Amino acid sequence: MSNYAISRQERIYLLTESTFGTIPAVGNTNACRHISSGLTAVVNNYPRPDKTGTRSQVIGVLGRKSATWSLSQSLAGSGAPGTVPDCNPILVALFGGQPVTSAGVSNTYTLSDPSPIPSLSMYSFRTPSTITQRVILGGVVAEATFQLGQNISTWSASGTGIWCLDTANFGTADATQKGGLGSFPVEPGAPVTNGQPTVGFTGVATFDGNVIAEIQTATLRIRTGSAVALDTFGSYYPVLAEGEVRTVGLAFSIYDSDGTGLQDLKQKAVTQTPITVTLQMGTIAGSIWTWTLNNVQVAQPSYDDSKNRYMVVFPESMAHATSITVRDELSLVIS
Amino acid sequence: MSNTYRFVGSRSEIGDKKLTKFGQAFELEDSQVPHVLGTSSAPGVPALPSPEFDEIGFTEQELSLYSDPYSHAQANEAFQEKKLKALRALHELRER
Repeated sequence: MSNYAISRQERIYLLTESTFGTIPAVGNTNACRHISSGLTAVVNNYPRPDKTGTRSQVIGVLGRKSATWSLSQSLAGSGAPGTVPDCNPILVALFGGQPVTSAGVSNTYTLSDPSPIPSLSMYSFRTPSTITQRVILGGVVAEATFQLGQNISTWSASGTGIWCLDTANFGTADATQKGGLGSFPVEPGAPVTNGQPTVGFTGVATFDGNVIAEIQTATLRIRTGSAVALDTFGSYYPVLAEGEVRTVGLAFSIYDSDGTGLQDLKQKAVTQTPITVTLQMGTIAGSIWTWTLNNVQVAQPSYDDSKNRYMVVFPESMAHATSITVRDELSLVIS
Repeated sequence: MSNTYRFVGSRSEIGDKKLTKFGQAFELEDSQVPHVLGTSSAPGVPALPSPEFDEIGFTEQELSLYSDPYSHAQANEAFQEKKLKALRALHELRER
């Protein structure tokens, strides 16, 4: 009888690639706890467009190949300020580089536009080991979303990749699909994971210098505009990653009140005067994520009376760089 | 050969082994060290070799009072300074 694959029996391992599409050696310390994952190979099939003389479709030809991936997880630092979290490879690919470490204190991620665009490999090891095991290679982050206001803070990221290699097809995989692997590795024997999850309703939300205690939810969405290139002549696979404009948006809801902070936001939504927003998620050292969004132009809110208290709902408001030479619309400090 | 290490994080797991208390001692085979403690770019468990941890001078009372990482926000200045020293030592260890 065949073995089933239980959804819960999966571990993810994240690795920063030093060469696009080359899978680094996986080890215990690359493990990263997660809620759900998606690793999918994309194989296009192109039907021949010519008429056949009948209304029936004839078989197509093999087209371009690539991959998509997604990962959601609890928001967790390493538990030790100054040590990067387990999810660091995604953050590096999201921001464009490694963070600046202040030993024993924090890691600071700032945006950069490197070339080539940083990529990652993501292994999904499942139990039993005879089940198909997978790895994304050449993974590029397209989008990441962080939530504030839940019991456990969560976040998700997704993007594209060169290929999703799996054990079912390893024997017939070509060199690109193998990403430099001679054999598909077994899962490391003693996976190491670090840190406590962040409690989603703890922290501090500061808008335009005013702490707003009545905030209920916030969703920070970063769209990198990065993707693997799917139009290379002479290759079925993406050979590089390319980047479009990056956007950083914050949607949030606040219980309505006559507080000065909220009044200020309502006014700024009319004048479109940019403000600075700081969101501190969590209060336990080693798992405090502090986001700074600069030059946020607050979108016009709507009023929601579906709860006991009126809610002011601000749709996605975009952060912006201060000038054409900087990338300061977003930064993250994990302390 | 194995050596004793002391945990300086909030919570980590090595396979089935759980580290949940600040200062918690655990044994590591020398051959496991790079695969468990990691490097600065792929860090593993935040832990110091026991002699380096002892050098910092945590008292038994401090380790008992602040074994739960959630209590650190209320810890006194002396403990906070020692904890910072421990984390800086960890950083240096990984840079070696």
